[in-house]
Amino acid sequence: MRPISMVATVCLSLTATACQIVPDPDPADTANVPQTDEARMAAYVAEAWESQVQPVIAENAVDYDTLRNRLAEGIDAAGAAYGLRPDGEANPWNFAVTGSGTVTEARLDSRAAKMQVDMDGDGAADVTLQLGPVIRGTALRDAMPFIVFTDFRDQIEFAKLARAMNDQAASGLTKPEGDVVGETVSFTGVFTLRSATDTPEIVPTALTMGTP
Amino acid sequence: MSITRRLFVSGLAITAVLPTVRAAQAQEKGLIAIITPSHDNPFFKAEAVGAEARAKELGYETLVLVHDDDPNKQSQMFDTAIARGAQAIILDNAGADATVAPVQRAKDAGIPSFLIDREIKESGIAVSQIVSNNYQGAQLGAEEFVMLMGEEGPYVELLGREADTNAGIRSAGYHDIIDQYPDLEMVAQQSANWSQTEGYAKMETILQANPGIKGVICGNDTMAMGAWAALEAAGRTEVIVVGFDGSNDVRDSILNGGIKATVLQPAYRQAQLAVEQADQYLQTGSTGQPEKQLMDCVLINEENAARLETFALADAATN
Repeated sequence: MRPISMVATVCLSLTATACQIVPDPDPADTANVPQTDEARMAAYVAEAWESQVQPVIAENAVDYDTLRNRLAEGIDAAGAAYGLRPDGEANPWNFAVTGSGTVTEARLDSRAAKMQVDMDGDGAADVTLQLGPVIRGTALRDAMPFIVFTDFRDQIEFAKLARAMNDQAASGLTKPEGDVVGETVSFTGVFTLRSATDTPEIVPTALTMGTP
Repeated sequence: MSITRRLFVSGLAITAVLPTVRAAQAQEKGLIAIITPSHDNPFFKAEAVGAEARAKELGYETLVLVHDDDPNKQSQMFDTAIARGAQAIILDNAGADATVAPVQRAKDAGIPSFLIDREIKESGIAVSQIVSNNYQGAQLGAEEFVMLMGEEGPYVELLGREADTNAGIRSAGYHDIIDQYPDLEMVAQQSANWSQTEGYAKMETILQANPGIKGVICGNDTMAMGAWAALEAAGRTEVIVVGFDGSNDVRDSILNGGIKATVLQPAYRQAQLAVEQADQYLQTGSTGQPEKQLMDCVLINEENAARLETFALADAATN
């Protein structure tokens, strides 16, 4: 079951004006004092998700093996070919990637649930999929060319935006359950890569368990 | 009147004459004012030193001023820079709101400002605002802190000065990570205003009320140094302390088994970059960059502390 494509199907079957994505409230947020920044950024993301975020990912998504081959030439070669990053010195590259592999390890009961995935069949994990609800990093935000820091009030608002995008990604996934080690997983997602030798920590925006 | 004339002449020099003279004679490029908080904090000193060195390399005279986090003093310094006919101002500012007016005043006088380290609340007034990615850095520090704490136990947070956006953003980054671990309990949260002496005093008091604390996470390195000194004085050197900045003091403490970790802000490079953008802007009318730019931070712990010097990390042997 792909929640994203399901939503898209529902959208298509309705008139455009009737289609509105309302994110489920994140239980983690109710523990904090309500802040207008958070609410505003969540609303911004809910509105931009289907119309702007998903299209950027779809347009820029590169097959994992293709990306891995290019990364062998160095991070900047791969970045120039497939990467996305904000202007400015020393900003790391972000990549949108699709692929499938075999789960080698999973920690699904954590607030920061993760799966390790072997992508090349050698039995060793090559990537980490961040299933949330706590997702590390700002890859989704920083991969979006239409999001520019200058347009936001300050770092605090900009950070809440990154958090809202991570929350949106996590809430759109059907989290796998049970013993998934050995199962096949197919995904589309975004990650930040600082060095070609780092392990990608992918934030999935679509996830399917089992043979696609 | 003399300011206008000087600007006009400088403009001529840049557009018409400079390409034909040797770079070594470029002292003619004029004055860059470098305004930061007090150099008592080595972080701000590194900024000033980095900016000054780069400005001189690029052929500018420099005027280095310190506002001591006093907006009135900062305002006077802008007047000084304007009166001296500065070509550009490099600024680590004295308050996100209070700084908008002087930067605007400089802009109205034809002097572009290039901000480092701290943001102001408006865009479109300064040419560049280059700040550390404090949120990213705070998350790095918090992840290390959580790991060191073994994901459990009572801890204390020392916050920076409230008027400074960086105090809020670092705390937000810390808590976005730490609050996910229900067994980590914050028993005290107080501002020590970025200050080492306040860090010491606050830590002493907190320790009396909460003798069972296991860790202290701090909004900057000077407060971490203060907290560590208080813990040492109380014989509590098992308490885990994490800072933020990447100062040489904390580096040495890490290497001596004191403070456990910090987060490096590339302050020296950031200041140099601001000068380079100022130079490019003065010569071409554009920096080629968006106004607000983030620079990523790097976690410093015992594994890489030895490579840290004056807010810059030497390259590791591996990529």
